[in-house]
Amino acid sequence: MTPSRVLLTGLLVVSAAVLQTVAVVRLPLPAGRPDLVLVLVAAIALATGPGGGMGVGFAAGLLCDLLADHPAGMLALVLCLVGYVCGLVPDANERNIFVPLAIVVGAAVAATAMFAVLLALVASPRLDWHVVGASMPAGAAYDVILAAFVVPLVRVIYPRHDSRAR
Amino acid sequence: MSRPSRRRRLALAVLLLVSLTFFTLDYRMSDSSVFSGLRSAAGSVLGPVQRTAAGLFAPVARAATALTGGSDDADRLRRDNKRLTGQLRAAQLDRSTAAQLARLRLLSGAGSYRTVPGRVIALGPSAGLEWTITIDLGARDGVRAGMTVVNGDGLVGRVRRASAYTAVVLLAIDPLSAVGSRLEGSAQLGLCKGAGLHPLHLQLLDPQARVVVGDRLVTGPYGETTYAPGLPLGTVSAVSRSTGVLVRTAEVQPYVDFTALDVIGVVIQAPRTDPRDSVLPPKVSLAPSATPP
Repeated sequence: MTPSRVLLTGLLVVSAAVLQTVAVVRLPLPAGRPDLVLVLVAAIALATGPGGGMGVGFAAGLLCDLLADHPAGMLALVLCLVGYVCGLVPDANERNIFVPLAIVVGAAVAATAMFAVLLALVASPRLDWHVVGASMPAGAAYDVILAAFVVPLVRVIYPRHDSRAR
Repeated sequence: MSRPSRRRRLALAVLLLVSLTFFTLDYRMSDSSVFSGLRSAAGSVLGPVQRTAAGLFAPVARAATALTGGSDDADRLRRDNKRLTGQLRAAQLDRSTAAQLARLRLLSGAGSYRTVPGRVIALGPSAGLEWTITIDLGARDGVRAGMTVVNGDGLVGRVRRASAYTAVVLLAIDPLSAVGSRLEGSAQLGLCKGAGLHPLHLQLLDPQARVVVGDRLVTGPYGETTYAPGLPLGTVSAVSRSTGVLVRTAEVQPYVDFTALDVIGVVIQAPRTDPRDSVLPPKVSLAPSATPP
């Protein structure tokens, strides 16, 4: 990545984190909330591959951790893995739009489950499996709607020059 | 994509190890120096951004309702209609803010709490498990960690940490929150634990204490962390009948609507004497806070 690309990525991640806390979580939606940061990480991973995906995922996760009230490192771990795995899918963006959307659904479900497991690991009183289970399908559905806009946008920002090199 | 994938796997392992280390360290030393420093740095840098963004969103929503169309007569009337509706909605928003402020002032006056009014600008990113809010008051406004947060209806929560311009508040309904409380008209003390959107869980110190549905609770001089005393907390909505339990438990419906928080106040200075039950609303109807916003 060029320095200007890194700067742009940082700007995107910070805007997503701020938008998420200020606007997205306050939307009057039933059952769950979309996760803008997760969708952005998945979209960047799809466009740049596993290396970029895990780096962006780690940074974005750590930023969200610091803005939130749970132990730092939880979302960094979750989003780093999400970014790596999403980036592994070969040429996902070259296929039709439904492939990336399906990947986002998988990423959303896996991220919620991993976060809950980490809470369970430290026996956090905050963990409520009913809330986790209830918010998972709705959250994934909202994420897909977000991804339908974010994935094409990110694809324009990060053209994959070396998609043939494999 | 020509880098060796072994190197990439190594990088992944390093990043995962780093996050796990952060996680363990921050969990073990919950209020330790390194991460609280990082947190306040993140808050100081992004707090003003959050404030500006939150300020931007209300007018954008208002303007969106007053968007204009074409230019012929019917269109002009329709446009006027939309503009006027938008203005009306904005006026209603202002009036709602004024009403909330008036209620907050009333509560502060009733108990002689010194409060600074503010607004909610953001919620915790994973709403549903973590019940925190970010407010537009910070260390510059005299807000410190541990201070009590209220609104016109009663107790909202406690300041978790404050950066220069913003502060993060742990709501009373968060499962990590435990509020020392007292039954109205008696000296019975208990602890109200948060349970998300479920009612608060009250544990009374004295297993022989008499509790009935409809009893009201205020914050009291008991608990791991101190809250300003005498603040309305909620009404008892159910009492457990299980025998042989060492502690008496009950469910408490809070006065504050935690899903619609807007104007809040931080108690900068608690009253010198406990206002006891004087801040509770007059006991007319049993329905808690049925007044429309």
